[in-house]
Amino acid sequence: MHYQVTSITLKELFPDELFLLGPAVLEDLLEGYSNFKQTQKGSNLDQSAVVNLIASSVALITAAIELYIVLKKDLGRKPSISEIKESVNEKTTSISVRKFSDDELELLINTTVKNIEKLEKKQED
Amino acid sequence: MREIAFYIYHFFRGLSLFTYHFIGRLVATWVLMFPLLIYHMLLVLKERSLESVFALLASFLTVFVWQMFLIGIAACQSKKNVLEDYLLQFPDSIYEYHTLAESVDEKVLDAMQEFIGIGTAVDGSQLECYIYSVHPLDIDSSRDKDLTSYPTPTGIRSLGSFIFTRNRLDSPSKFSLYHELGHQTFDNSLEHHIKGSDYYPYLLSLIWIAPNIILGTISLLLIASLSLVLILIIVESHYRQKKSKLREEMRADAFAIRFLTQEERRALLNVLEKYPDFYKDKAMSEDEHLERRRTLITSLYTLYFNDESFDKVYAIHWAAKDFFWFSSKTRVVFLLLLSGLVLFSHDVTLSILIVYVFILACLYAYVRQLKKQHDILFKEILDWIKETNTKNLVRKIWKSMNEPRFSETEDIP
Repeated sequence: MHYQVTSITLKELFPDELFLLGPAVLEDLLEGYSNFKQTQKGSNLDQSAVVNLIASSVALITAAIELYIVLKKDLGRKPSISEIKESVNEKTTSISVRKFSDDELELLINTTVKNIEKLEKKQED
Repeated sequence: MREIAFYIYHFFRGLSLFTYHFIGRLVATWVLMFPLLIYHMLLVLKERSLESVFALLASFLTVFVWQMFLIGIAACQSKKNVLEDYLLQFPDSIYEYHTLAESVDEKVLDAMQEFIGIGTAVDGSQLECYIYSVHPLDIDSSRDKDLTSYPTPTGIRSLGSFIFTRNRLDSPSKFSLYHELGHQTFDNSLEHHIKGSDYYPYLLSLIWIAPNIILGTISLLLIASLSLVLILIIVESHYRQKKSKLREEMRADAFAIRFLTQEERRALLNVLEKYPDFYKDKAMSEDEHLERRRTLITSLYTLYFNDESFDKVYAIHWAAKDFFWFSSKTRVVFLLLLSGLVLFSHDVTLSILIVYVFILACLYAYVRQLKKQHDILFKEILDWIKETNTKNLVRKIWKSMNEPRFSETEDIP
């Protein structure tokens, strides 16, 4: 579920960015690889600004999915967006959540939760 | 007097631009950039001796051998970079070769050949550009972000340039690939590879000519003036070199956006507007980055709404503008002063000719050595890729054979 939800959410939120990065880099990022090597002597276009953003988004979306599952289990109901957002802010120290503004964070979590629910509904059907 | 100076100046400037536009960039660069050639031409007119004709022939050869020498050094360096900067960094990958013809549209090939000046493309076979898509073996393999290219100085035609891309070539976004092909099309001048390559001929010419001059007040004054102008040429070259990165990137951008689909142009516009640091190059200053970004956005808007008619002119303009330097005022003044120096030169003697030919022969021998070194390096690259591919394919097969066919929890039917 993680891979699917993350992929759908990213494509929904960053269509132009992913179009330019191409599928290989997206696959790497989805698999958790973000430690790209930079060549020194060749000529290339530096896309770090977007690669870093997508890598951070992948980490955040993954955390949001994990927290959604845990909270759902603990609370016995579907957690609200604000509950997930609060937990993300409290518990995530290893990922670079601070790179996102409050609105961006809410949009990311909102879209992630929407996609999880969509996928759950599809599975139930 | 002023009018004569005006006409002489414009004669040289016109000659260089005429040569550039009608005979070709390469010839213009080779002939007009090398003051020694002009000096010996004038010497033939002055002396009308057999020795002076041989000296002129030798200076013709010097131009070719000197260019081959610089190209050899740059080509060897480029191949070393491919090996050390790229391949050895990413040994756990499979390298899939693609021809240019299967990688890009025919109109891109046409444009590349149009700018390089070698006729119309039928297929990509004339262009020696080695494109590899790089597929890491597993998640532990180190990898490049997207695409890296290594252009060679004579362009992609003869010595082989390399492009390594992470993405499959059928992936929808082509901007990076076309951008790098733009570099390979335009940045094949020696200036791109060897700092100072455009003032070396002036320096060498003066070093060669000065000892052959009959010393006197006027000739000393001329040599002193030439030295001063040479300093100006060196300063000018350094200044141009400093700005060359921005020009190169903007030219490559202009080339690339010409061939994008409207969908990709829109995506690129959106990303550029959203992220001010996108495509920021560490080698460029903040102002240069802003100028490049502004130009790219403007060109994209123009192309997005007017489609494809405008960009060709724009790209040619950029390509030509970058080669106007060889008709700069300082260079024309250098050639004029040098022409004056002919009046004070010693006659070309057999001993001078022998020294000249000996130096030339030594240089040529070294060029042959460079060619051999380049061929070895080139073979080394291709062999490395072949061996790595074989090794990694075996590893991949071995890994897939050792992977459990059923998970522990799954029932075996």
